[in-house]
Amino acid sequence: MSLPAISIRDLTRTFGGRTILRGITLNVDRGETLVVRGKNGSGKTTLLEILATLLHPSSGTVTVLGHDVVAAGRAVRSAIGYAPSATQSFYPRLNGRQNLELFAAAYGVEPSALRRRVATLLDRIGLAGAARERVERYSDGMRARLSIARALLTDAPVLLLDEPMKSLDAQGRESARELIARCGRGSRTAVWVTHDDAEAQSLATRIATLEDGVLR
Amino acid sequence: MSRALTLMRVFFLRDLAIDMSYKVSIAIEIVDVLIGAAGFFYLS
Repeated sequence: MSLPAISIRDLTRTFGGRTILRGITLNVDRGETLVVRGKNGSGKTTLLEILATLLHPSSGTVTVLGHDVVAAGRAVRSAIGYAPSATQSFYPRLNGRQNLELFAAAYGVEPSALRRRVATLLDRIGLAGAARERVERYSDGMRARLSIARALLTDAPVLLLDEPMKSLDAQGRESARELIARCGRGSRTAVWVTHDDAEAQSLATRIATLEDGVLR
Repeated sequence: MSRALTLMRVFFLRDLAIDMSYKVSIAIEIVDVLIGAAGFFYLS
């Protein structure tokens, strides 16, 4: 039996005196698309940020492809593509293409493949026409699409998507869903966070619900 | 080591691109450098 792509054991996370995640235990198999749904403040983003090594667990263990998120953060980061919920994580004075090229270079994408990879993603996500516009002039929906493209820059085997469709219109949702599905074919694992039930039903191979930091 | 050099190059290019996006500011800086160099040349 193969190792799960993501393994979470008795994960608890507190902020000050407030417990956000309580004793979460969960496995995500390779190739699986797990949708984590829950109301605002239920702990979805905290869970994803721990998987992305942005936060440390207060207790419990979390591994991604066998790498511990605390002890082997660098190995985990090289295995994931992450689209955070905040769309302010770009350089506003740079244009969309420059931003993606910058992140691709920082992620270690080969220089010979970098421009083509960025151009392909911008085209598929519907931002080819706005590639030379500064990100400060982008709408929230355009930034959300750019964030999805950034998560797909490397062929990371694990995708972490935090409400990636939140600001997208119907057409944007469809193209984003198509792009992620196309890039997700094969053995790529995805953890997708949303509070939209219809979105969860249409995307998931499995759905987990977070309520007040407890997995149902 | 090569990873560190790559990151240094990436961050330098990022800062350069951001500086270049402020066109008036970068022009004033270039003029300032030229005036400074010329002044140094004539006074030395």
